[in-house]
Amino acid sequence: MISMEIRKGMRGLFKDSSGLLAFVGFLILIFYVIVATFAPFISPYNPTQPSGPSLLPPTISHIMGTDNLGYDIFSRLVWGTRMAFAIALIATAIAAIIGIPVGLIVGYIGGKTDRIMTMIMDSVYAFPGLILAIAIAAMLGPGLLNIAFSIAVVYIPTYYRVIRSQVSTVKSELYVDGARAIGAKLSTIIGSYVFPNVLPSTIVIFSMNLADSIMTEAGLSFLGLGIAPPTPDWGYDLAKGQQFILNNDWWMVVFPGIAIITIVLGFSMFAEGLDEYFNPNIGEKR
Amino acid sequence: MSDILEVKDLNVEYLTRDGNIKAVNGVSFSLGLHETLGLVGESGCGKSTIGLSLLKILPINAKISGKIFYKGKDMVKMSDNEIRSLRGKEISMIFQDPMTSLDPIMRIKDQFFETIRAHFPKTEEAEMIKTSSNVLKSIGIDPSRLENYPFEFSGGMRQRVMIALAIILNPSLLIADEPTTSLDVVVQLQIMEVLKALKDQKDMSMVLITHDLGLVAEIVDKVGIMYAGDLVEFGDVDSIYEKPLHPYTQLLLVSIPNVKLEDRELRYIKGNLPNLKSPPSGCKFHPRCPFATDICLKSVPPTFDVNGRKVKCWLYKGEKDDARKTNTSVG
Amino acid sequence: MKTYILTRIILSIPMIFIILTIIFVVLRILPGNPVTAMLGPKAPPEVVKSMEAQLGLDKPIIIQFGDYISNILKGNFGDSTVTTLPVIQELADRFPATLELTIFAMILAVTIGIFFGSTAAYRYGRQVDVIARIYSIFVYSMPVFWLGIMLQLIFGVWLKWLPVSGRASPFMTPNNMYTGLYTIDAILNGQWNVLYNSLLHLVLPSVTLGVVISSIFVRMVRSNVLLSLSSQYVISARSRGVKESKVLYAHALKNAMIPILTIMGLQFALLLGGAVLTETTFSWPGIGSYLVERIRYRDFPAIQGAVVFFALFVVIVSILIDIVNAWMDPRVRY
Repeated sequence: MISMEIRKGMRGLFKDSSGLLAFVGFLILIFYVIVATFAPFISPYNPTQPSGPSLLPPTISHIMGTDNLGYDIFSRLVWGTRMAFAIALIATAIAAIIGIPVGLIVGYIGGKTDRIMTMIMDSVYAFPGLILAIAIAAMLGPGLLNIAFSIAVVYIPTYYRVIRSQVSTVKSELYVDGARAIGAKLSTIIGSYVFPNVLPSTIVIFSMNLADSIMTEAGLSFLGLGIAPPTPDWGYDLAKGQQFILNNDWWMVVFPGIAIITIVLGFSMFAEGLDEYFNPNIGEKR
Repeated sequence: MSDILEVKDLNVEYLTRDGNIKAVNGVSFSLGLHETLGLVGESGCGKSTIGLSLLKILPINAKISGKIFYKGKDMVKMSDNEIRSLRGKEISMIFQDPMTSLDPIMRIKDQFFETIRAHFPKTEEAEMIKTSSNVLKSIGIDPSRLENYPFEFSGGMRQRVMIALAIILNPSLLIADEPTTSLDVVVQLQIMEVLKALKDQKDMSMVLITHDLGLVAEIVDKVGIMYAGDLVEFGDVDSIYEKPLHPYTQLLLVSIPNVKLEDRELRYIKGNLPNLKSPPSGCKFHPRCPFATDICLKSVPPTFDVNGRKVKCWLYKGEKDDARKTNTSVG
Repeated sequence: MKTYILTRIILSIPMIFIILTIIFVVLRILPGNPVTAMLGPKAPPEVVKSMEAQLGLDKPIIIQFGDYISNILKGNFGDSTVTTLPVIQELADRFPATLELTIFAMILAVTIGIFFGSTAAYRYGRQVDVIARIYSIFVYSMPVFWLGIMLQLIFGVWLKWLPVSGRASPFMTPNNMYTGLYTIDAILNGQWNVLYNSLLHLVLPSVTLGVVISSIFVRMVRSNVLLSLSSQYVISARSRGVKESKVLYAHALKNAMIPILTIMGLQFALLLGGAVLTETTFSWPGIGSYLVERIRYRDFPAIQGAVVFFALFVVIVSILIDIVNAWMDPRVRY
């Protein structure tokens, strides 16, 4: 029975491009999760110690070359995966932990609270995200949690907006009225009726925000506002690499860039696939 | 050839993510010059799809096969450009929802001009204004309203504008897809009056698509009854009204609310339209049919010819004379 | 129309106030005092005190907030602690560079977005559509600075076709400045070699920023045109024999432009974020690189000024976009 269900699910998944998209995205993510988990075994050298001559082009012993200090770029990329995941996950989690409950409660209560809160959230949303993160990061200074927090602030409104608007739709549904009529508590109504309905979109946003957080983190560390060196970090490595492109030392910029692109692609393909899977309405029209 | 329109074995299928929908299934009928045909059926029976097929403006996921002869030429085989030159000039269409059928951000004037220029690119503006004003006047709208945007009109007025747009180039065939459904009753009658006047004065052939048999009875010459993609009955309006042959037609006629009758109970047909992704076996109507027999479950009925009328029902197998079953009461 | 513009401006006042408050909270109340941020943690207490007094940070927080708001309203952003020049003047000097970059990037992004997006929608499910979708996902996943560096590498270092940084070569600035936009001023002065030079410098930064932003535009033009192509007025225009090109551009795209413009307004914030990175990548002397540069010098008034400036810029653009929107949509205009 179960195997049949799985087969049916798989067939549904690959019926069109959205399923394939989510699947490929998922494979990329799995790949990076493995790289991050087994970083000590995968990386051939210590990422924060010189392991050869400086500015060495890719060779067999250093497959992605070395940087100006002689650090092995491949090892730095492998360890950098951990940093990318850590910051993105923490930032997105903070944003979700604040944005979702606020959206649920405010959306459910409605009225004046709703209007004021929505206005505040819209203002944050309208604010150039990266610039807000830059300002916060500049004030808080370097450090993993500080960076994660600066990124999180930017993404709180995305959760808030989607959750709030869905809650205000769901709450007028009959079954929620029914629950209220029989005297269910606010927390029960939100927890068992409203939240399950908004869960799919939450997962989609979570995945999209992970992609955006990685991008924002890379941007911050490119600007020198990220983790303090020499901790391996893709954005920082790119910024350092840029100083040497006039010497044609391309390997210092090409590889970290590819790492960022593929991991962001993984998250956004996964999110896009899920989104089409959950909201397949537009496809059938012209 | 006196027929303006001849449809032969028309099939339309919509390809969707979860299965194909057979919206029109082997439909054949013909329409003479200056005649009006009423295509009647419940929503989702494929009548609107036939309307769209007659202009070949189906959604891209639709697959069409069969033959549609317009003045002797097969439209299914025509090139896109040939078809386009027919649309609006030879064959026009008005749609169910006048609120959304006009481009909301374009002045009425420009929608008229655009239609004229689509067929006569070099028309002078002064002439276009004259033509548009005349058509609007003939349909009971002040020409000064050409400057207005659609949102400045009421529903009934918009439907008049839609009709004016459809007839501005004097087409020979007008297709009206539920032209009155979304309007209130008084406006419905007004629009029907307009259509009737068109038929009488301009000698247009018409295809009136509707779910309301009573509304069109006065103005149509022929009636086609659609059920789940099939044309189940086709013939003269009078004979169909007098003696409906197909059980579905009989039920449809009974379900027309009649305020004159003592019995004011609203009658309706039991059951729902079948799911077109997996229609019932045999005759698609059998689950709702009061006369269904074994054969109806097993095989699809062919179209029988009964006194010049066509009916797709096993009850009329081998029948040449008047149908006996028509007087059987239903309810 | 006049009343509409007026209401729109009045409606944005609370938003501006909230945004200014957020900036205040971020810069003054969050842990990380601006003074320690400027002087470092080991600064002697009396230096800290005098710096606090200089910036008005010794006053109660409410008074500070009042001063902050009234100063911004007066256009007084304080003096830079690095150059001692008024921040507002430095911002004014840098603004044309940012404006020039964003205008060119925006033109490119909108052009790519509209043509690619509407063609993809029109040919839904076909090859162009697939390519458009892959393009938008792939480009969206590209960090703007990485694209910039790669273009520098290819066109500046390998092919040597284009300059890799800056706004103009030495002695290649317009003689008389009218707008501060080098391209426009060069045309006004009739200095064609200066125009050519500034266009050469503009290519890489504006392509970088424009291409990255175009990914979002392609995507939203596609989905909105898709929606309006399935609408009744498109079917009805077709039924009247209107040519397909007119159906697509005069009906479907024009109607889709209304939601598209609104979203483009929201994306303008993203564009500015991208501009900060692009300016830094190409040493483009705009407000984005100013912000990053002053963060390194811990120049607090400059940081605050640049952030406030960006916020106001976004609000003004969103007002402008709403006005264009009203002009396009008769339902709003009347």
